[in-house]
Amino acid sequence: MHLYKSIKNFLFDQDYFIDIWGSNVHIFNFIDILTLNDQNVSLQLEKFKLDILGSEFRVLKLTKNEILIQGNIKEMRFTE
Amino acid sequence: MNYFWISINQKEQDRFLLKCYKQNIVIYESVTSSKRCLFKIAAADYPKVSKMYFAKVRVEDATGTPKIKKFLKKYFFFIISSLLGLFLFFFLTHIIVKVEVIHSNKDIRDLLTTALAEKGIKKNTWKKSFSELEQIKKEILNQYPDRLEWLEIETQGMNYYVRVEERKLKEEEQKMERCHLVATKDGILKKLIYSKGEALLKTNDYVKKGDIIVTGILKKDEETKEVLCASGKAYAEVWYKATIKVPKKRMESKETGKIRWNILLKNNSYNDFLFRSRLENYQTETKSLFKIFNTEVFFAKQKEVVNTIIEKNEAELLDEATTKMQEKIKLTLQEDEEILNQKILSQNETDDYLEVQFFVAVLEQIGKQQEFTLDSDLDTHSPNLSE
Repeated sequence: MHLYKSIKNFLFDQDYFIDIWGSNVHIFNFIDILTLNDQNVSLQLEKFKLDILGSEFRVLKLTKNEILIQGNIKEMRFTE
Repeated sequence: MNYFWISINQKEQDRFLLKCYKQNIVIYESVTSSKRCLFKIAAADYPKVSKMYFAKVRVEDATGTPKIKKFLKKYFFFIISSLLGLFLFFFLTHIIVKVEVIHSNKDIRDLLTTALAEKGIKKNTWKKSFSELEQIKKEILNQYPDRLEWLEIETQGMNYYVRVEERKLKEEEQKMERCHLVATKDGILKKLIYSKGEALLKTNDYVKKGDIIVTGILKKDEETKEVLCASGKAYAEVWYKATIKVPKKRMESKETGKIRWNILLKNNSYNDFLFRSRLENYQTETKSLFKIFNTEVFFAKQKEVVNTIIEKNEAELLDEATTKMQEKIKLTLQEDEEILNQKILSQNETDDYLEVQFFVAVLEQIGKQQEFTLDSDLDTHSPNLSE
């Protein structure tokens, strides 16, 4: 178990991460979903709020602390 | 893990996703079509989803156990009938409904039927494996070494056919103390092989039925020295007259090329085609398909033929008659006997037949041991031949 925890800590040593590639956004370790529609996704993270603006948003994967969104991303805003 | 693919209206997806997030329902995959959104969720989460009354949730597909359940429900009758069919097939191919012992002797049949039943080979039982049958055969042969010579258990469909050879202990040769080797037929002596006794005739001597060829009385200077049982073989040229009748015409069949297929059913009391044949004259080739309940089913190929009657020429007729005569004579001959020559004595002809009379010379063993009795004195004996 110690080894497993060490590896986990090594791999996920951040509080959160946001990956963007192509038309996909992958956000890990968010706290809450504030808004979710095909043009705007607002997520509350630990220290800030993330707004993703665009069109034709689609949720490909959704768990309690992880979301994968696909769509035309125009803007991303980070507000405290 | 078991999953469901559910679909909801596209308009409801935002609310649905938020609700899923709030209720800790994991969306593993999603696909969007023109009007509906498909989501892959855990089967365990489905009850939560089904309670979301704002969305019309439809199960589109499933993976794992739910899929198997759905498949079983859909193809229930097909699966059940297939399984029943397989079971029936297994049952029919592994059960024995008849055990038939093939032998002319009723005692042997009864003996073997009982012995087989003791070993578990009886009707309405499961078939035995090859090794088990071999073992049973061995055990039965060991059980009756003086009655059974050979045994074979043949499996044909749902039946066992047991072929058996009865052991015939050779009757002890009757021991005779005093005997001559006597001719059983008239002929010319061609070969004489003897181990005991004294030859009274030599090769090329004419011999008549009942003549002593080898005597059991050994003499020296007209005095009887020893009396024994003469033994040996005497081969002589003997003659026969054989009459053979051969038909002057023969039927020749020629195929027209027309072929019809049919099914032939065959059992002990029935042997007929399933469909009526449309051909007038035909020859049939059959190929066995399967056997069920004592009835064998054949695939039959009927070839139409045209029969023409052909008149045989004289040479052909004589050849046929000679061959027939030789076959007939050979049936009566032993291995060491043979036809020496043959001649045609006469020919009688009718409209349909040719009758040929043959004269045949055969090399045949004509010596037979025959016991004799002596009068009171050895010196003044007179052999008393008795048939």
